[in-house]
Amino acid sequence: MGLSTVVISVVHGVLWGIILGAASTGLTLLWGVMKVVNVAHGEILLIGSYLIVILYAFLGLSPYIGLLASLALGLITGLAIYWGMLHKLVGKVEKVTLKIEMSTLLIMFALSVALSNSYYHFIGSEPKGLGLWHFGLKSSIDIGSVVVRTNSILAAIVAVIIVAALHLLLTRTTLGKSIRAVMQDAQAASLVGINPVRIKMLTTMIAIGVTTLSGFLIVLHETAIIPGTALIYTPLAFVIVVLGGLGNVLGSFIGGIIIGLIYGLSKAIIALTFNPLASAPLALSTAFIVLILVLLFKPEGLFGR
Amino acid sequence: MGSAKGTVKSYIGKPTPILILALTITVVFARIFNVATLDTLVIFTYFITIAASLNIIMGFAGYVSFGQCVFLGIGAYIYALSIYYVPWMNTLQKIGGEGIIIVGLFASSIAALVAAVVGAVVLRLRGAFFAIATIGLDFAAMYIVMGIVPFINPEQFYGAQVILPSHCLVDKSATFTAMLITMITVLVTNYLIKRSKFGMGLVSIREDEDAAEVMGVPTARYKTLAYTVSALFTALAGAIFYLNGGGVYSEAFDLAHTVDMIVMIVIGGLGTVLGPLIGGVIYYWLYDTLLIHYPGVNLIILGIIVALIILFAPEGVVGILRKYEVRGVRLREILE
Repeated sequence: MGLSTVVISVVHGVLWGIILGAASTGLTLLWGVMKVVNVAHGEILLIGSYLIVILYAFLGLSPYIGLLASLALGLITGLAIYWGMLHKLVGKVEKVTLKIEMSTLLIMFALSVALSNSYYHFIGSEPKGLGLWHFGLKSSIDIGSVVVRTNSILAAIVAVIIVAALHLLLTRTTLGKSIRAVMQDAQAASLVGINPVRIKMLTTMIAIGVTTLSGFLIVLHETAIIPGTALIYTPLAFVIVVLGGLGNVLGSFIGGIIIGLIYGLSKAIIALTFNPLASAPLALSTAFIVLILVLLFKPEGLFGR
Repeated sequence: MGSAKGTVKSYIGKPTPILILALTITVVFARIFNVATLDTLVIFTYFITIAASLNIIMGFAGYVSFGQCVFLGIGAYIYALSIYYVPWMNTLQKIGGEGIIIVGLFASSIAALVAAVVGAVVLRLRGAFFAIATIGLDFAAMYIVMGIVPFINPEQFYGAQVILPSHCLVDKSATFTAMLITMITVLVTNYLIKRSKFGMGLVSIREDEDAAEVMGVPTARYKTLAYTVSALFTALAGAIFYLNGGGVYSEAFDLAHTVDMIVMIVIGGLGTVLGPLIGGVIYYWLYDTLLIHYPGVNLIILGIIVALIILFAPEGVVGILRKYEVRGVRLREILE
């Protein structure tokens, strides 16, 4: 009984971790490249989730179309966020000082307040989800003694695809190399003919686009989402990004898996030794204690240079 | 300033103490003549108190503490649990405003102790890393409370709610008095810090921490002290506020409380004594009008207003005001 609890908890934790890792890549780009402390990350994730749910539930469109629509909406939102909010703060700046970083934090904070209250007002606080849609397959898969929902497994597969695509984009294309150049030294990049403003705009678009796209994973994993879902994904994304190192896409993917593993393990241990009812909140608190420890002892991340 | 610096005379005639006094008198009169309900007045004074307490660490020292609500929550929970389980504390808080302050100081000194221990470690981080760490701290504390509190008394504290039984409740005029005293104290503390060597040290940390360190400012000690003082007042305000509400929920750790505080000091002007006061008045007015006229969308509008302030007037109301001149004297010299 004890061992199987641990196995089940760890398998679910790792699947969630893969999804968390993919959902945090947008933040690592935005924070690492642009020094924009996006505290509205969870709310932006939900833009994608809600778009897919609304298209499916009210217009009857397949979630695959919703997936494309959420990417498109994300790119447009990124463009709007860049020109409406970020350009004035970081657009022309070569070295982002602490003060500017704090301004970006405050403005994204304002965005998160506006967005989350828009969800409450226009969509409502009832749980919304894709109902019985699970890729047209069986609803759950048995692996030995562990039963996993199809949606969680397929969401994890989609998550791997998203991270792989983003990684290839950043390492194999000219655009990706320009983005990494601007991340390392904006001034030097502009000397070799890279337009930092254009790159920053594109980075914002890609980061926000990947984030809204990952909203699909959240809605699959959570089954149903409420506006409050953002409250848990924003801080966890920061934990993961710090763990993986700022701007390191693969790092945050692995960081996500580590956090999922820690969550699953500590949940099982607390459930077995203390009380099952207290296990979920206490397991989440371990994730945040890990954050503080990593910040203190290895602020450059586990895979930092 | 000049020759009279440091004497009592130099303090009189400055707008800051006068405004603090005027605000206090207005609030007391509003209470005496029943212009506003007690609940409104408690919320109003609470807003100014929490804004002014965050101002000490965020305004003066420049450390954006997102997890300030962790102290709000700790203060509120310890206060509620103390009067729930310790009979003499309950008797003490029933005396009135001063009783609440004494029990509240017990709860908030524990929060301040936590702040001192945690601050000594976490304040080594700078900028966004500090802000993120405080968010982590808040969530860690919130989930620990959600996990532990229900087991103290499974029947009563379901879902980490501590609802105060009727023998623990106090008269609203007592909570109001306690909150008013706290508000005046924190505003005066802000003023005294701003005028002291300690305050100058904090400002030098905000402007350039490395340079301050080189110049001999004991940065680590100053930062921790500012964080502790800030936590003390936040916890006290939280304890009184939730006592006034009749119970504590895990919502006390909600980042929305930090939203309130940050919005107020950003509107008013970061790092100024009058900032939290003016910001608090404006925010309360905005909050009240928007809530009445546009319920539901009020916080959306508020978010947009804050974004516009950060983009176009990052120095806040006080920051704008002090650029102007009145009769040849720059307002900056009068305001500070």
